[in-house]
Amino acid sequence: MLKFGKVGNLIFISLTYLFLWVPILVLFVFSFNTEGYPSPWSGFTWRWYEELIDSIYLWKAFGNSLIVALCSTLISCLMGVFLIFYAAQGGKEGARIGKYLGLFYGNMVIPETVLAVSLLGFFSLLSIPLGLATLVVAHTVLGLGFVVPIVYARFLELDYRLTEASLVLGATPTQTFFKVTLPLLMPSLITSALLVFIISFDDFILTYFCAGSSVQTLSLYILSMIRSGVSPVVNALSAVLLFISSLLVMIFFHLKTRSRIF
Amino acid sequence: MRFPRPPPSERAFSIGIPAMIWQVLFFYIPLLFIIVSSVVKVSETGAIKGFTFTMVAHFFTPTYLKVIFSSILLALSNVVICFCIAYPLAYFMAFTGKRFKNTLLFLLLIPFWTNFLLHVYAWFYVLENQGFLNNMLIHLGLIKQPLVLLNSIFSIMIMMVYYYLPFMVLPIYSSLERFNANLIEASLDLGATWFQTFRRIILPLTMRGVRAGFFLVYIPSFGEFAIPELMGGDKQMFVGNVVSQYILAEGTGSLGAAFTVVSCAILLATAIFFYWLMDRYVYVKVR
Amino acid sequence: MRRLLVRGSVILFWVTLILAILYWPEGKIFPSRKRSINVFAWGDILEQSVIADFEKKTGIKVHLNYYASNEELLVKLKATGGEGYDLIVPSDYSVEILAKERLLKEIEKSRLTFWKNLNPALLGHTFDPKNQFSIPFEWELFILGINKPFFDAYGLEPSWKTLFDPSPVRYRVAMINDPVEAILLAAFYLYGPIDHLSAEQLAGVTELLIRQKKWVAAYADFRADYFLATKNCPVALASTSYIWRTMKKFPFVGFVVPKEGTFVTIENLCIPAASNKEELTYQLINFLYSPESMARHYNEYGTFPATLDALPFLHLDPETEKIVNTPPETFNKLYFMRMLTSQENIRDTWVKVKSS
Repeated sequence: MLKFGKVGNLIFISLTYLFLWVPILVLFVFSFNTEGYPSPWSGFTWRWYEELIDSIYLWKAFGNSLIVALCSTLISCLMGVFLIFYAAQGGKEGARIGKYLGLFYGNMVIPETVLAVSLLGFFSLLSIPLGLATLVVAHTVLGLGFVVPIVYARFLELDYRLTEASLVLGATPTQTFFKVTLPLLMPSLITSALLVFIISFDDFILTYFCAGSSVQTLSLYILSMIRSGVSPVVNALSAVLLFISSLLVMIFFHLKTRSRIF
Repeated sequence: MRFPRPPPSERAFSIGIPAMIWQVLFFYIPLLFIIVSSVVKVSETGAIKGFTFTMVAHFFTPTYLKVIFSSILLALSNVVICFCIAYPLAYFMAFTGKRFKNTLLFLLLIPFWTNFLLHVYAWFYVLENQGFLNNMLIHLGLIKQPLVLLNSIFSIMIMMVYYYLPFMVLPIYSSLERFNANLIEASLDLGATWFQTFRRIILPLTMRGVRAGFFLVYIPSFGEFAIPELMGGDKQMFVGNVVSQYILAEGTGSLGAAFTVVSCAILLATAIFFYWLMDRYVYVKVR
Repeated sequence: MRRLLVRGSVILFWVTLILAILYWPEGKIFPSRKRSINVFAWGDILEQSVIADFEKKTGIKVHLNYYASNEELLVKLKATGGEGYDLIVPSDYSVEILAKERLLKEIEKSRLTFWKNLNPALLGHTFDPKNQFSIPFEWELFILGINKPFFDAYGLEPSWKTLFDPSPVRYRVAMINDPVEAILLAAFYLYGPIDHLSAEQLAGVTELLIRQKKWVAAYADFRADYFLATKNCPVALASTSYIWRTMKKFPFVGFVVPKEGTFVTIENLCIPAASNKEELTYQLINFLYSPESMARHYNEYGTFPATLDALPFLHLDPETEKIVNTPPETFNKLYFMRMLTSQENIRDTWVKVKSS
């Protein structure tokens, strides 16, 4: 079944994963290096981690990123679920809105740069002050583009007999949705929520254009650090973030009983 | 007077509609606005003076078309390279044992969930003149002088593939997961070679994942500007760089809008073309 | 019909709600109880510990926001009409533009405690002849940072030619990434100090920059010192502050001032017209000009202070001292940044250069 034989496959897999992980491991190891610039190992130190803890502006930016990511994930998931709820109403209503749900696929066809530019123009036109609120709005747009297609696709695949049975047994459509359909959609919902959270937290392009100057997020902060040179404080930061990402991924795996993603 | 209870369908509408409103208000209307502002002449005070195509025409010159073309080339090569690596990887992951599969997925997702700029930073450490790779190679005696790897097209491509690989792997993996392995066995039993099986059975049935992966990689790669700036020493101009220059500078906002519209239109045209190409050359319909 | 009405009003309700949240001024959601001011500055001009000391001493909270280019400052200030910021740090030519747009408030010199200590060479320049709107804060020159051993070994000249035309010796340079400055310097190299570029001259400048491109390792505004330190490039164009920071850590890095002359930038403190927190702002300004603060800024960022009483606190090597103590006459021979042609032309040229 496998194409190049077991050995060939293993070499390929290991090379790919090496490619993916070497930079991260190098970054992690060198966060303990005494030397600032990329250079050979010169000694062990905790100094950069101490500097990391002391940088209040960095933690403020981190906090901002977290707030924006949490808010946009929450809002887009809630709105997405309620939209699906509306679409789940039987009859003409549901079918009609179902066609319009195709509108949410637009996010995939437009580069983020274009979205960022148009949002910036839109906000300037309406004189909306740029800040945390506009960031949350922009990220929610991104989020909706993931939540609605993913959850709706899963919704369409659901066994209709379950909902039918529920309705026949006397539940109202609302009860059916929240007690039968929603639990079945939970895996997709959680997957898309995690996806939106990560994409929002790590987002760079939208934030670059739409954050205004009063809000500093983690991506922008790291960008200004990279632009002004190289500092191992960023190494220390990435080690910390890597640790947090691993935790999140482990939670994600714990929640899944099968290894299907969507 | 008691507030009349709206019928259930209206209640559902009331809570279901915000998502739609949001999408229209914050996605489609801004897009419309940017298209309009690229062909509308605005006077000093902001009053609309009339239609003009001069701003759009400004960008149909060799310089800018070259920029758009290099962006398309960049995005396309990214897609092709990612596909060549992602498909075998997803295939392997989908058909191995459960524990190994989970480990591989785990190891794939962690870099995916780390901040993109940190990845850029990590590659500095690897590719720098005195960085990890050069140190290794010199240590092993393979080269005498450090290789200049950063600030070139090579480093841009590496970073692009590095960042977009998971976007290509995950949809394909998702498709392969639902794949019925018996079909492959049946095909091989009936005498087809592995390649024929791949071309006529596996690939068409996973086309949905491949198409999703294509869009998830092709479209964003086109608008990339941070990677060429940081990894390429900002020596090349791509669509994203030009757009950010024009938008974030003074007085050139509508020019920036015009360029965005032009490049986006060209991008969509090429995307539709490639979509059609994929449809045409992969047997999807069963006779 | 009734259904349409109901649905229409629902949609209207949601739209109003969303817009209301967006327009809600952010400050009012989380009102800052303490007295505070918003400062908009370069990322590497105000030292954090100095600000922290100020906050401790006066109890005034300082919110720092950063921009990376004068244009960003101009765009953002124009967009908000100057509102939201109480102190900004524009470069020389930006002061002129902002003053013309009436976005700056007049400085009340009577409230400044340090005016007599200012270096007279920095006052009264063309961008603000009477210093009505700006107080010079720091200044720096555009110089070539060099790898000293390499420079001496190949006998390179301290001239702009080393940057724009590395032949016959083959080496790579680090060039700045700002199109306005790049075009200005290229024009200076080709045509001397001019005020305006004709179409022909612009073509000449474009050609020079395109020719230079094959020697350029990277267009790195803020990372020039990094390229010198990692020995990527033996020649880098940067401001004195960046080179100074590298020189402190790496003794093989030096600098040369090109013999044809060079450009100076003065960073100034200005107060936006829409600000109403002058009480607090003047306190910060006076604090920032104290000799200790100036010395700390120099030690951290390498920018030359605008006050003369700070000089004894800096530990300067002879070469630097010569530069810092430039008499006004020589200072006036230095050139200021200016825009030589329209924004559109500048952008066009830059795209042409980079995509060649």
